[in-house]
Amino acid sequence: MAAGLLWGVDGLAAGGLAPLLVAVVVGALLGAPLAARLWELADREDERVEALRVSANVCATLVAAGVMARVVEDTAAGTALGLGLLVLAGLAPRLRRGMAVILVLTGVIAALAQAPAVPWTLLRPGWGAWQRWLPMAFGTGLLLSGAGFGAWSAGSAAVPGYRRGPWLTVGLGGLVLTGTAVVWAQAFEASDGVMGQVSGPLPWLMALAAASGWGDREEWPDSGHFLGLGLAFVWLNSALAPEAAIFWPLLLWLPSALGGVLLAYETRGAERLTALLPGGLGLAVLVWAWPGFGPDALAAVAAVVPVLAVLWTGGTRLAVGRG
Amino acid sequence: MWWLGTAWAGIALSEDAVPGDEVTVTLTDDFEQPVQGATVRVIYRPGLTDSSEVAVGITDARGQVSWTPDQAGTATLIAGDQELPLALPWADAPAGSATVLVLLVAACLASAGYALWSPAR
Repeated sequence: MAAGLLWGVDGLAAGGLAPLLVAVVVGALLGAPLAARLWELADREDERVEALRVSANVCATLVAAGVMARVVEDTAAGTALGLGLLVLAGLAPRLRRGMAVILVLTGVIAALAQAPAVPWTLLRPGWGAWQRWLPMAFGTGLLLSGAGFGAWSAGSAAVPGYRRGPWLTVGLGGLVLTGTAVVWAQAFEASDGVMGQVSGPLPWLMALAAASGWGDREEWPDSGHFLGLGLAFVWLNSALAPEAAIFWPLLLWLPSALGGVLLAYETRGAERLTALLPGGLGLAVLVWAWPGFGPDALAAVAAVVPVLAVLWTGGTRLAVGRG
Repeated sequence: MWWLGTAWAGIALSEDAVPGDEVTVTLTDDFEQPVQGATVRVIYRPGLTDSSEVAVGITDARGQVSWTPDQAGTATLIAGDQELPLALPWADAPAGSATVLVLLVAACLASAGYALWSPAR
């Protein structure tokens, strides 16, 4: 089930803490400013904004399906944790920021308390292997800020609810990922280097973003959302599931790229350049660190076709809006 | 003492391996007899991108060879098709890793702090 694996022990094995640091920096410096500007546009009735909403919602559906795939694969405890987090995710937009901070910090401290000593083997930064982790690190940063997921795509209300929310999700999400990394590294060291096959908190953070996008709607999403979610879930659990190393970085980059294009229409001068920077850099990262399509041609096609469909959908809407 | 595999009965260490301290590696067969002339290797950080393999030596008539680990963290001793996974304890935090960890936490706190301390609704 390659498509279900978004961020796990494999990410640490590839680059240690280096991908996490890059993700947080990208999220805070590139993703969060873009997400904040898009947040300001969330309530606007505009074809171009609608194009972004449609594209981001397709991505959100696929990501949520990937999360469900992980729930099926994980242990009973993981399933319970995941379902609990999904319930919390539905409440997230209504949580006070202070409560969210306390919840996250409590979780991180509790996780770190389980580690009797800092285990450095798995945490050592692997800068030299940047091609193995840079696309996912970049996508993770955009995701943490909401820019890589379309947190502004709720439609009837701006999510996450205030302009500097993206920086908060970068900071708290980064702490969650760091705490989890330390716990994994401890388990890795305690088992004399046996690699666990567990997924990371990233799927749950993505589910949080997905549910947050839905949570502030005045009405529940229509049945098409759930039908799409079910079909995507079946697909990601099938033998036709795409290669994760290609699929998720591409998918996470798309909303940022489209959002950048949208803002570029709205702005001029240096601000236009700033708007296009996350998408442009994301594309550059994908080109520089392209993992290759792998031996399975069908899986490669499965990864690229949905991405092209999202691009086509967003592009045509943008063209209509521009016309 | 650890016993693994089938071709030889196992690889054993005289004491817990610690970086910088010499230990004796003993290789025995199915009948608990020492295996002479076997090449012993160690892989530091096995399975990770920057793993490295080092030759430890060849066992003597007592099936023994001396080994002084020079790295902390996970490692695997190998002799023939026998493997002994180990976790060599860390004496100090590696500077590079600790620096990145501190930077990472600081970046997270700075980002969250920016959002919380100057909220602009």
